[in-house]
Amino acid sequence: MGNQHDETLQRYFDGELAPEERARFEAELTADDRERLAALDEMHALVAGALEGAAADVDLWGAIEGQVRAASLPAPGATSIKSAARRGRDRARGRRLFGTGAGLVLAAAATLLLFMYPRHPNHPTNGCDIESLEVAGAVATVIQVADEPHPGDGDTTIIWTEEDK
Amino acid sequence: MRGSAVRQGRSVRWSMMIAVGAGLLAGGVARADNHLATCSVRMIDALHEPGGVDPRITVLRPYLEQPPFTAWKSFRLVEEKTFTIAHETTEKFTLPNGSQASLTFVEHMLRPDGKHRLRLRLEIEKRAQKVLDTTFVLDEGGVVLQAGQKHGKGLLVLGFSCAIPNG
Repeated sequence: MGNQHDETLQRYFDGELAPEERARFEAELTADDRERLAALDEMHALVAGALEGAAADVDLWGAIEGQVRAASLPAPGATSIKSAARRGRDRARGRRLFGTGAGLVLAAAATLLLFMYPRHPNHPTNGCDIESLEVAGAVATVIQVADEPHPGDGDTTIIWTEEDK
Repeated sequence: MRGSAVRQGRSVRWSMMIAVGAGLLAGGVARADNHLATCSVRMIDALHEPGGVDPRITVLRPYLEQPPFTAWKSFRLVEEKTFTIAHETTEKFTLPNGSQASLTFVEHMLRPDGKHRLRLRLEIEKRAQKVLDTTFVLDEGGVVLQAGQKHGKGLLVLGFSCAIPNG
Protein backbone atom coordinates (compact mmCIF):
# COMPACT_ATOMS: atom_id res chain seq x y z
CA MET A 1 0.00 0.00 0.00
CA GLY A 2 2.88 2.29 0.93
CA ASN A 3 4.65 1.55 -2.35
CA GLN A 4 1.47 2.17 -4.33
CA HIS A 5 1.00 5.49 -2.59
CA ASP A 6 4.62 6.42 -3.35
CA GLU A 7 4.11 5.51 -6.97
CA THR A 8 0.95 7.58 -7.18
CA LEU A 9 2.74 10.49 -5.53
CA GLN A 10 5.52 10.28 -8.10
CA ARG A 11 2.99 10.12 -10.95
CA TYR A 12 1.20 13.11 -9.47
CA PHE A 13 4.47 15.02 -9.35
CA ASP A 14 5.22 14.07 -12.95
CA GLY A 15 1.74 15.20 -14.08
CA GLU A 16 0.73 11.75 -15.22
CA LEU A 17 -2.55 11.46 -13.35
CA ALA A 18 -5.84 11.91 -15.11
CA PRO A 19 -7.70 15.08 -14.07
CA GLU A 20 -10.24 13.22 -11.94
CA GLU A 21 -7.60 11.10 -10.27
CA ARG A 22 -5.44 14.16 -9.72
CA ALA A 23 -8.26 16.05 -8.04
CA ARG A 24 -9.03 13.08 -5.84
CA PHE A 25 -5.39 12.65 -4.89
CA GLU A 26 -4.95 16.34 -4.10
CA ALA A 27 -7.91 16.20 -1.75
CA GLU A 28 -6.23 13.38 0.16
CA LEU A 29 -2.73 14.86 0.38
CA THR A 30 -1.24 14.73 3.86
CA ALA A 31 1.32 17.12 5.33
CA ASP A 32 3.98 14.47 4.83
CA ASP A 33 2.98 14.13 1.18
CA ARG A 34 3.33 17.88 0.72
CA GLU A 35 6.79 17.80 2.26
CA ARG A 36 7.86 15.03 -0.04
CA LEU A 37 6.48 16.90 -3.03
CA ALA A 38 8.43 19.96 -1.97
CA ALA A 39 11.61 17.89 -1.70
CA LEU A 40 10.96 16.34 -5.12
CA ASP A 41 10.47 19.77 -6.58
CA GLU A 42 13.72 21.02 -5.14
CA MET A 43 15.65 18.03 -6.33
CA HIS A 44 14.14 18.42 -9.78
CA ALA A 45 15.17 22.06 -9.84
CA LEU A 46 18.63 21.11 -8.70
CA VAL A 47 19.10 18.68 -11.55
CA ALA A 48 17.42 20.81 -14.21
CA GLY A 49 18.97 24.11 -13.21
CA ALA A 50 22.66 23.31 -13.79
CA LEU A 51 24.56 26.44 -14.73
CA GLU A 52 26.26 26.75 -18.13
CA GLY A 53 28.67 29.54 -18.68
CA ALA A 54 27.36 31.98 -21.23
CA ALA A 55 30.89 32.50 -22.35
CA ALA A 56 30.85 29.06 -23.96
CA ASP A 57 28.67 30.56 -26.66
CA VAL A 58 30.92 33.60 -27.20
CA ASP A 59 33.72 33.17 -29.69
CA LEU A 60 36.10 35.86 -28.48
CA TRP A 61 39.06 34.29 -30.18
CA GLY A 62 37.40 34.21 -33.57
CA ALA A 63 36.16 37.78 -33.35
CA ILE A 64 39.47 39.29 -32.30
CA GLU A 65 41.43 37.16 -34.74
CA GLY A 66 39.21 38.31 -37.57
CA GLN A 67 39.70 41.97 -36.69
CA VAL A 68 43.44 41.61 -36.31
CA ARG A 69 43.75 39.87 -39.65
CA ALA A 70 41.64 42.53 -41.32
CA ALA A 71 43.92 45.24 -39.87
CA SER A 72 47.09 43.48 -41.02
CA LEU A 73 46.10 42.92 -44.69
CA PRO A 74 48.11 45.07 -47.16
CA ALA A 75 46.36 47.49 -49.57
CA PRO A 76 45.14 45.71 -52.73
CA GLY A 77 47.09 46.18 -55.97
CA ALA A 78 50.43 47.24 -54.43
CA THR A 79 53.42 45.85 -56.39
CA SER A 80 56.41 48.21 -55.69
CA ILE A 81 59.28 47.41 -53.42
CA LYS A 82 58.09 50.08 -51.06
CA SER A 83 54.70 48.48 -51.10
CA ALA A 84 56.25 45.09 -50.52
CA ALA A 85 58.28 46.51 -47.65
CA ARG A 86 55.18 48.12 -46.27
CA ARG A 87 53.38 44.83 -46.62
CA GLY A 88 56.19 43.20 -44.75
CA ARG A 89 56.00 45.80 -42.01
CA ASP A 90 52.24 45.46 -41.96
CA ARG A 91 52.54 41.70 -41.68
CA ALA A 92 55.06 42.07 -38.89
CA ARG A 93 52.80 44.57 -37.20
CA GLY A 94 49.91 42.20 -37.83
CA ARG A 95 51.86 39.36 -36.23
CA ARG A 96 52.63 41.58 -33.26
CA LEU A 97 49.00 42.65 -33.11
CA PHE A 98 47.92 39.06 -33.55
CA GLY A 99 50.31 37.94 -30.85
CA THR A 100 49.21 40.76 -28.59
CA GLY A 101 45.59 40.03 -29.36
CA ALA A 102 46.07 36.35 -28.70
CA GLY A 103 47.70 37.15 -25.41
CA LEU A 104 44.83 39.44 -24.47
CA VAL A 105 42.31 36.79 -25.42
CA LEU A 106 44.10 34.18 -23.36
CA ALA A 107 44.36 36.53 -20.41
CA ALA A 108 40.68 37.42 -20.68
CA ALA A 109 39.70 33.79 -20.94
CA ALA A 110 41.84 32.88 -17.96
CA THR A 111 40.35 35.73 -15.95
CA LEU A 112 36.85 34.68 -16.91
CA LEU A 113 37.54 31.10 -15.95
CA LEU A 114 39.03 32.14 -12.62
CA PHE A 115 36.02 34.35 -11.97
CA MET A 116 33.59 31.58 -12.78
CA TYR A 117 35.58 28.79 -11.18
CA PRO A 118 37.84 30.28 -8.54
CA ARG A 119 40.48 28.04 -7.07
CA HIS A 120 41.00 27.94 -3.33
CA PRO A 121 43.92 25.60 -2.94
CA ASN A 122 44.26 26.19 0.77
CA HIS A 123 40.82 25.12 1.93
CA PRO A 124 39.56 21.53 2.29
CA THR A 125 37.54 20.16 -0.56
CA ASN A 126 34.49 17.97 -0.08
CA GLY A 127 35.24 15.43 -2.76
CA CYS A 128 33.43 12.25 -1.88
CA ASP A 129 33.07 9.05 -3.87
CA ILE A 130 30.35 6.68 -2.74
CA GLU A 131 31.69 3.17 -3.25
CA SER A 132 28.80 1.20 -1.82
CA LEU A 133 25.39 2.04 -0.44
CA GLU A 134 22.86 -0.34 1.08
CA VAL A 135 19.65 0.59 2.82
CA ALA A 136 16.84 -1.31 4.41
CA GLY A 137 13.40 0.08 5.01
CA ALA A 138 14.25 3.26 3.14
CA VAL A 139 15.12 4.72 -0.21
CA ALA A 140 18.53 6.34 -0.58
CA THR A 141 19.51 9.05 -2.99
CA VAL A 142 22.99 10.44 -3.48
CA ILE A 143 22.85 14.15 -4.20
CA GLN A 144 25.76 16.28 -5.34
CA VAL A 145 25.46 19.98 -4.58
CA ALA A 146 27.84 22.70 -5.63
CA ASP A 147 30.39 23.63 -3.01
CA GLU A 148 28.84 27.06 -2.69
CA PRO A 149 31.59 28.74 -0.67
CA HIS A 150 34.12 27.68 -3.26
CA PRO A 151 32.45 27.12 -6.59
CA GLY A 152 34.62 25.28 -9.04
CA ASP A 153 36.32 23.19 -6.39
CA GLY A 154 33.96 20.27 -6.73
CA ASP A 155 30.70 19.16 -5.19
CA THR A 156 29.49 18.25 -1.75
CA THR A 157 27.78 14.91 -1.31
CA ILE A 158 24.53 14.35 0.55
CA ILE A 159 23.34 10.81 1.25
CA TRP A 160 19.58 11.31 1.52
CA THR A 161 17.52 8.52 3.00
CA GLU A 162 13.75 8.49 3.04
CA GLU A 163 12.21 5.96 5.34
CA ASP A 164 9.46 3.75 4.04
CA LYS A 165 6.08 4.32 5.61
CA MET B 1 90.31 -20.75 1.03
CA ARG B 2 90.67 -17.05 0.32
CA GLY B 3 88.10 -17.31 -2.47
CA SER B 4 85.68 -19.02 -0.12
CA ALA B 5 86.14 -16.25 2.48
CA VAL B 6 85.46 -13.61 -0.18
CA ARG B 7 82.31 -15.44 -1.30
CA GLN B 8 81.17 -15.69 2.31
CA GLY B 9 81.88 -11.99 2.80
CA ARG B 10 79.79 -11.09 -0.27
CA SER B 11 77.05 -13.39 0.96
CA VAL B 12 77.01 -11.65 4.32
CA ARG B 13 76.90 -8.23 2.68
CA TRP B 14 73.98 -9.23 0.44
CA SER B 15 72.13 -10.68 3.41
CA MET B 16 72.63 -7.47 5.36
CA MET B 17 71.45 -5.37 2.42
CA ILE B 18 68.36 -7.50 2.00
CA ALA B 19 67.64 -7.30 5.73
CA VAL B 20 68.07 -3.53 5.77
CA GLY B 21 65.90 -3.15 2.71
CA ALA B 22 63.19 -5.36 4.15
CA GLY B 23 63.30 -3.37 7.36
CA LEU B 24 62.92 -0.09 5.51
CA LEU B 25 60.06 -1.47 3.48
CA ALA B 26 58.32 -2.90 6.52
CA GLY B 27 58.81 0.37 8.34
CA GLY B 28 57.21 2.27 5.49
CA VAL B 29 54.16 0.00 5.44
CA ALA B 30 53.88 0.19 9.21
CA ARG B 31 53.90 4.00 9.06
CA ALA B 32 50.96 3.98 6.64
CA ASP B 33 48.95 1.59 8.84
CA ASN B 34 49.58 3.67 11.95
CA HIS B 35 47.59 6.65 10.72
CA LEU B 36 44.95 7.93 13.07
CA ALA B 37 41.88 9.73 11.81
CA THR B 38 40.33 12.52 13.81
CA CYS B 39 36.67 12.70 12.90
CA SER B 40 33.83 14.96 13.88
CA VAL B 41 30.15 14.20 13.63
CA ARG B 42 27.66 17.04 13.85
CA MET B 43 24.10 15.94 14.58
CA ILE B 44 21.62 18.54 13.46
CA ASP B 45 17.89 18.92 13.78
CA ALA B 46 16.21 20.42 10.74
CA LEU B 47 12.80 21.94 11.42
CA HIS B 48 10.17 23.65 9.30
CA GLU B 49 9.74 26.50 11.77
CA PRO B 50 11.80 29.61 11.03
CA GLY B 51 14.94 29.95 13.06
CA GLY B 52 17.97 30.12 10.85
CA VAL B 53 21.16 28.15 11.17
CA ASP B 54 22.75 27.52 14.56
CA PRO B 55 25.90 29.69 14.78
CA ARG B 56 27.83 26.61 15.88
CA ILE B 57 27.34 25.05 12.46
CA THR B 58 27.99 28.11 10.34
CA VAL B 59 30.45 26.05 8.32
CA LEU B 60 27.51 23.96 7.03
CA ARG B 61 25.24 26.91 6.32
CA PRO B 62 26.03 27.06 2.58
CA TYR B 63 24.79 23.51 2.15
CA LEU B 64 21.76 23.78 4.44
CA GLU B 65 20.40 26.87 2.75
CA GLN B 66 20.10 25.33 -0.69
CA PRO B 67 18.19 22.38 -2.13
CA PRO B 68 17.29 19.83 -0.99
CA PHE B 69 17.06 21.53 2.42
CA THR B 70 15.08 24.61 1.50
CA ALA B 71 11.84 23.17 2.91
CA TRP B 72 13.44 23.33 6.37
CA LYS B 73 13.86 26.77 7.88
CA SER B 74 15.87 26.18 11.04
CA PHE B 75 18.86 24.02 11.80
CA ARG B 76 19.96 23.38 15.36
CA LEU B 77 23.07 21.55 16.45
CA VAL B 78 21.88 18.85 18.84
CA GLU B 79 25.19 17.18 19.53
CA GLU B 80 28.72 17.10 18.22
CA LYS B 81 31.17 14.28 18.73
CA THR B 82 34.87 14.29 17.98
CA PHE B 83 36.91 11.14 18.21
CA THR B 84 40.11 9.59 17.00
CA ILE B 85 39.92 6.33 15.12
CA ALA B 86 42.84 4.06 14.42
CA HIS B 87 43.21 2.37 11.07
CA GLU B 88 40.69 -0.46 10.59
CA THR B 89 38.84 0.32 13.80
CA THR B 90 35.32 1.45 14.44
CA GLU B 91 33.83 4.16 16.60
CA LYS B 92 30.26 3.66 17.74
CA PHE B 93 27.91 6.38 18.89
CA THR B 94 24.24 6.97 19.50
CA LEU B 95 22.21 9.35 17.39
CA PRO B 96 19.64 11.75 18.89
CA ASN B 97 16.80 9.63 17.50
CA GLY B 98 18.08 6.55 19.36
CA SER B 99 19.62 4.84 16.35
CA GLN B 100 23.09 3.38 16.70
CA ALA B 101 25.75 4.56 14.30
CA SER B 102 29.30 3.48 13.67
CA LEU B 103 32.11 4.97 11.66
CA THR B 104 35.02 2.80 10.52
CA PHE B 105 38.35 4.14 9.32
CA VAL B 106 38.98 1.66 6.54
CA GLU B 107 41.94 3.12 4.72
CA HIS B 108 44.08 6.17 4.28
CA MET B 109 45.18 7.07 0.77
CA LEU B 110 47.65 9.57 -0.58
CA ARG B 111 47.08 10.65 -4.13
CA PRO B 112 50.00 11.44 -6.42
CA ASP B 113 49.07 15.12 -6.18
CA GLY B 114 49.57 14.97 -2.42
CA LYS B 115 45.90 15.06 -1.48
CA HIS B 116 44.99 12.84 1.47
CA ARG B 117 41.77 10.87 1.27
CA LEU B 118 40.11 8.53 3.71
CA ARG B 119 37.98 5.51 3.02
CA LEU B 120 35.27 5.37 5.67
CA ARG B 121 32.31 3.14 6.36
CA LEU B 122 29.14 4.47 7.97
CA GLU B 123 26.57 2.09 9.38
CA ILE B 124 23.32 3.00 11.09
CA GLU B 125 21.11 0.58 12.96
CA LYS B 126 17.57 1.23 14.10
CA ARG B 127 16.02 -1.14 16.59
CA ALA B 128 18.87 -3.61 16.02
CA GLN B 129 18.27 -3.64 12.28
CA LYS B 130 20.79 -2.16 9.91
CA VAL B 131 19.13 0.60 7.89
CA LEU B 132 22.16 2.16 6.22
CA ASP B 133 25.55 0.77 5.25
CA THR B 134 27.73 2.89 3.04
CA THR B 135 31.42 3.05 2.22
CA PHE B 136 32.84 6.20 0.74
CA VAL B 137 36.13 7.92 0.08
CA LEU B 138 36.31 11.47 1.37
CA ASP B 139 38.86 14.22 0.95
CA GLU B 140 40.74 14.90 4.16
CA GLY B 141 39.00 17.72 5.99
CA GLY B 142 36.04 17.55 3.65
CA VAL B 143 32.42 17.19 4.65
CA VAL B 144 29.83 14.61 3.67
CA LEU B 145 26.22 14.88 4.83
CA GLN B 146 23.68 12.19 5.63
CA ALA B 147 20.12 13.37 5.97
CA GLY B 148 16.58 12.09 6.07
CA GLN B 149 16.15 10.23 9.32
CA LYS B 150 13.15 11.40 11.25
CA HIS B 151 13.71 13.01 14.63
CA GLY B 152 10.74 14.42 16.44
CA LYS B 153 8.98 16.92 14.23
CA GLY B 154 11.94 17.39 12.00
CA LEU B 155 14.75 15.77 10.14
CA LEU B 156 18.12 14.58 11.35
CA VAL B 157 21.15 15.78 9.41
CA LEU B 158 24.56 14.30 10.10
CA GLY B 159 27.74 16.05 9.00
CA PHE B 160 30.93 13.97 8.87
CA SER B 161 34.46 15.24 8.48
CA CYS B 162 37.78 13.52 9.10
CA ALA B 163 41.43 14.47 9.00
CA ILE B 164 44.80 12.81 9.46
CA PRO B 165 46.64 14.94 12.01
CA ASN B 166 50.05 13.52 11.19
CA GLY B 167 49.43 12.87 7.51
